[in-house]
Amino acid sequence: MRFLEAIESLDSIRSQAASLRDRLLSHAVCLGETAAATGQESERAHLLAQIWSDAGLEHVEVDDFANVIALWPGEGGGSPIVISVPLDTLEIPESEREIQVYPDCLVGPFVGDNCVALAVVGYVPWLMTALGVQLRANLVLVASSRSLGAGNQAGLRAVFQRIPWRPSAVYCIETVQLGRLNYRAVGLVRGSIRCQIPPDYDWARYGASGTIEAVAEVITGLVQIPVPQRPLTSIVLSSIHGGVAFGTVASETELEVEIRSESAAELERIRAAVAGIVESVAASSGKRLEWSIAARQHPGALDAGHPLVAQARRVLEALGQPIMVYPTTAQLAVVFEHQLPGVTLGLTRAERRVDMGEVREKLEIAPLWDGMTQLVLNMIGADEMAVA
Amino acid sequence: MNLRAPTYVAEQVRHWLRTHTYHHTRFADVRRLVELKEKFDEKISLCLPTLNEEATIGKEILLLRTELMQRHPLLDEIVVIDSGSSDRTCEIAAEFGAHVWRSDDVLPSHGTYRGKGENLWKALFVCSGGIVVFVDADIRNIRPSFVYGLVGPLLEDPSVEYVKAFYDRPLEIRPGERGVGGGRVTELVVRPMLSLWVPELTALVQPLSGEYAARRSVLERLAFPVGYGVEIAHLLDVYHRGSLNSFAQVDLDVRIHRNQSLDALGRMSFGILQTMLRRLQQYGYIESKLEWHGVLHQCRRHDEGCVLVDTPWDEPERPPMIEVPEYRRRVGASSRDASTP
Repeated sequence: MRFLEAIESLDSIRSQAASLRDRLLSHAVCLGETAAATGQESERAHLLAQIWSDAGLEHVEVDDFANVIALWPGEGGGSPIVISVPLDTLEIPESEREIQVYPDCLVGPFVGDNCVALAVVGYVPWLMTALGVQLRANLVLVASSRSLGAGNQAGLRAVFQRIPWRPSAVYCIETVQLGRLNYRAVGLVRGSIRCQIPPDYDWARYGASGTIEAVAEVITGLVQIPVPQRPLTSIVLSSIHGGVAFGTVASETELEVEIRSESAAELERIRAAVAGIVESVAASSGKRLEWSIAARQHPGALDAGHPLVAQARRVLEALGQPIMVYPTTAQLAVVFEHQLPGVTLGLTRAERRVDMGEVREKLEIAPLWDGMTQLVLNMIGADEMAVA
Repeated sequence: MNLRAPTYVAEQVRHWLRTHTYHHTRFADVRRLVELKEKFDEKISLCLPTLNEEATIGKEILLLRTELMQRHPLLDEIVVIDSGSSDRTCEIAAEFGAHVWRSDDVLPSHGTYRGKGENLWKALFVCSGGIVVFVDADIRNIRPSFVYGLVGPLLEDPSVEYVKAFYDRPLEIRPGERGVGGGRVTELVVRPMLSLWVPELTALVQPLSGEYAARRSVLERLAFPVGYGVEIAHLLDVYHRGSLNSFAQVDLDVRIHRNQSLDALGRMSFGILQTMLRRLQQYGYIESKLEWHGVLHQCRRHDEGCVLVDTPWDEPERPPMIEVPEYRRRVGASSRDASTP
């Protein structure tokens, strides 16, 4: 089946995808209820390897980083196409990992991030086989570890450093939201500013204070850093921890900061400004302040008219899905770092509501069949491009 | 009735724990279980009793049907028996492929009681497997091991008739601890009673667990108390029809479910005690005829003082299914079969 034929056969692809409902949901639930905190993905990785093997993928392996890598061999010709899905999720206690299953939705902690995508991409080759589609290029699936926070996308970076071939296209897949089309990656610098009271601090000095005041002074400096609207740039204060109770002085306070920008120069300018503020507050307060960087990503982008972007847009339009274009901070930055063409797509819709708690999400099942159809069409199109 | 010497009982229990207690991983090769099932030409039914379980029933059926019917044909049917849910339990169960029955619609000429035992008795009528697996529908961490673990000993050992589950319940213990055995009703009511009169059965870690599997040939000859007494009645009856070696038990690791209030556990204990006392009389452990008030009195504190709440609680029993004419017609049994010990 060629791309133009496939785009005329949306209903049959959708109904084939929907026939996989029970298997996909079952796998998604098992994956979602298996712990996979960043850097501790081994258990989920081995479960996923089993699921992908059962789905008919070949050479399924879990590498030293706990990345899961699998192959669907093509007939021959063209550079491989890569589908990549983040493997890790935020840490949740075992007794709170429950996912509820209803005919129209899944409800559970971070159910939109990313167990459904892990299950779905493993069955894209099965779906293509059922439709009589055989790619000429090899299709390589990657579930990448250490994608979140300080993990700094270490798993995906390791994969790209290891593979001896150059992919023709990389599709980064997230469970939500269907309709997203990311082809710009925002660069980022993630770090923490830790303030501690040194052992020789003079508590008897008039006006002696704890670490919260010093960090507050840093924050005052951070909000005064000029931030341009173009290129898109922001400073996000992500979390702050310090102090115990009334009547005690905070001996340690930590502030997590994320700088995002589409411009590498802006990132560097702001990073240097933060370092300067930290140094200045340390000097004036007599407290120990340290700015340590946990993760870095470089900005990058494809042109809006790049063939991968144009094709993804055409598929979404054919499916009748509203297209959402915005820059992303996730896997795509690593793809661009390696000078590879790639886009990020979503599979279905989900919402997180206050009444469901901080971490529980409600994920719609029905749009998944459009999400899978989108993947099949993009794979067929990317294969034609790779061979051409 | 003469009680057995404690040292003999302890030795018997120790031996049974070594030979009839398993971990579910022993049966994780489901393909091998399917081969055994086919070799013995066996059919296996899974029955899920429900009452307002919409939050958990979808996942239970989805996971068990996908893995143990579609991927490995270990189960032949999944049957839900509902005792009047007011939520979407029945709709969700049907959507995910279970045969759903409302308890009222099964054997209607026999009337309806409200209770779990009633559901299980009617499930036995509507399902067709020679091996029947019962699993509670409120399990939040259901896995296929909950079913294949229970079925495994029955397929491997023809002398085993009844398999009980046991597990940790993390909501009842502190992190890092392992539970002492059963839940509160087991440890405060059932285990002391069994220790007094039938200490052999204390070998069962969780005699009240809602997950068990048994041969139809055994189940159809057991009376079913309609409420909470059904599990303990089965254990005492199967033990007295056979021996401790009629049982096996399987460690399923962890079961996460909603916890019941102390009030509800009080009602449960009251029903179980009635069933136990009846059986202890029936089997001659207690020689004098006992009579009791069938009303549970629970004191509740209010701002104005204490209030006594009375709950009439009786545990009527359903007769062995083999004695039910509709069942005998269905399975082609003669009335002589019903009286066969």
